[in-house]
Amino acid sequence: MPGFLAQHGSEIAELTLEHLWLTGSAMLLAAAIGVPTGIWLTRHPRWAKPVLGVVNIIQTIPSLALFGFLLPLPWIGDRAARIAIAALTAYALLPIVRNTYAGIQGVDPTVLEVAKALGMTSGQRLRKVELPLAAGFILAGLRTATVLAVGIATIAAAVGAGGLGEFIFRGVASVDNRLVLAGAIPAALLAIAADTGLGWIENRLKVPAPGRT
Amino acid sequence: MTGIDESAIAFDQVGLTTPDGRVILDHVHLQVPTGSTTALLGRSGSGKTTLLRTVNRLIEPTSGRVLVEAKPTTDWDPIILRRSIGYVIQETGLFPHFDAERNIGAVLEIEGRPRQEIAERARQLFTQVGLDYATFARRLPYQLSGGQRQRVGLARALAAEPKLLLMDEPFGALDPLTRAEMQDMLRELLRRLNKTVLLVTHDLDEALYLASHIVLLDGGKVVANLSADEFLGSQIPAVQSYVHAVHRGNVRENQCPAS
Repeated sequence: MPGFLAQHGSEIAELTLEHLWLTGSAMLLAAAIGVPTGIWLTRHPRWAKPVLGVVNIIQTIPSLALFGFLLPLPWIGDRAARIAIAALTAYALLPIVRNTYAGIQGVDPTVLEVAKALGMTSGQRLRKVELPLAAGFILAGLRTATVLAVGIATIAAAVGAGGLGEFIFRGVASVDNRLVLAGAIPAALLAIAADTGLGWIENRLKVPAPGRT
Repeated sequence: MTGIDESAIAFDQVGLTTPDGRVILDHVHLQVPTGSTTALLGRSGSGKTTLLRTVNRLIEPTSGRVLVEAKPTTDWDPIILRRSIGYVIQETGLFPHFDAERNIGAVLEIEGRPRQEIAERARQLFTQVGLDYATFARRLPYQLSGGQRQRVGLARALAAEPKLLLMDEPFGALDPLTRAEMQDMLRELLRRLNKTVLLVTHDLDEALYLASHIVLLDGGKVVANLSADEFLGSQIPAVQSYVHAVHRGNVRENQCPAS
């Protein structure tokens, strides 16, 4: 085992970083698309069903197939990393859009009405009331999406995008469990770290509701 | 009776019919004199809250018009209109993620007033509503009792020094003792501040204690518009039946009213 680590240690580190880069950029992109989309849906609720339906369907596409679908696309298909990031972004959209939408929809209507009655503009209501009160919910969506993306990113190695999936595919091909674990264990640790870290932030963002008397 | 032009609020044949044809407000014609406290009294579903909410355009009537300071509400910018009217509702109205001080300064904050000014005003208001600044400023609404929350809500409504206050069952969720305390405090505050107040309540005693005018609504119609002094002695049948229904204990004691 020490021999294995000595031989592959630097490669593990490198692929872990690559894995982080793929999921990290996909998450930033997914948040940049998903949160505004979720907000937009709360303003145009008749679009909620169709849009959530579409992101839902994306999620049911097997990941290997999605990587394959993206391959022939211009620009995206040019580089493996682009394919991987595009696919991971697409998968991450559902939890982010859904939780942003549901989180804002779930804000107490009385509180919103008071915000309106005090003379808040619709932008102020969003910034000062809706987003802060939905923040815990939105973050829970980001957290689900991140854990999902860390796992699915291992499949990105199939299109040559790198990441910890490299080890897993190589290990499977050469029937070497040590190689499989060299990919699987760091990937699992990444997922756990992301889950714990985002969970901690999520808890800090939760607002206690006033108790009824 | 004051004319439409001198009233702080005037309802001019205000009607509201829902899309499915239910009549919520039926030609309400009413003036709220400047500086008065007017109570809208009535049972649940009589339209009193709906009427209140047409004033700051949370609800738009389907016919007639509402005038605030002699200007139809539809001619007001709704944001400016709302900022110039204080609004207090039952206890759930505080922002749960703002501490007491930020809740109180909310209107000033959204108007973009300087921090320093907001902080000073908030301190004043804590004193006015009888809360200790050092103890309560940093508390979130869930860390306050019902009465304290209501004090914060009242302070928030007063923060921008509005001439008009709309209060919708402000003390409805409080126990009788806290309620009485709050009523005392409000009466004292109103005596000093010279505001025009429109107060929705179903509590006759509260209306009699706080208001100079009492308007009784039933089925979306104004059935009586009297000064508080005249109300108990009124011969209007709707008023009599409301008074009797509420004062059952007293009725039993005076079974044979003196003629």
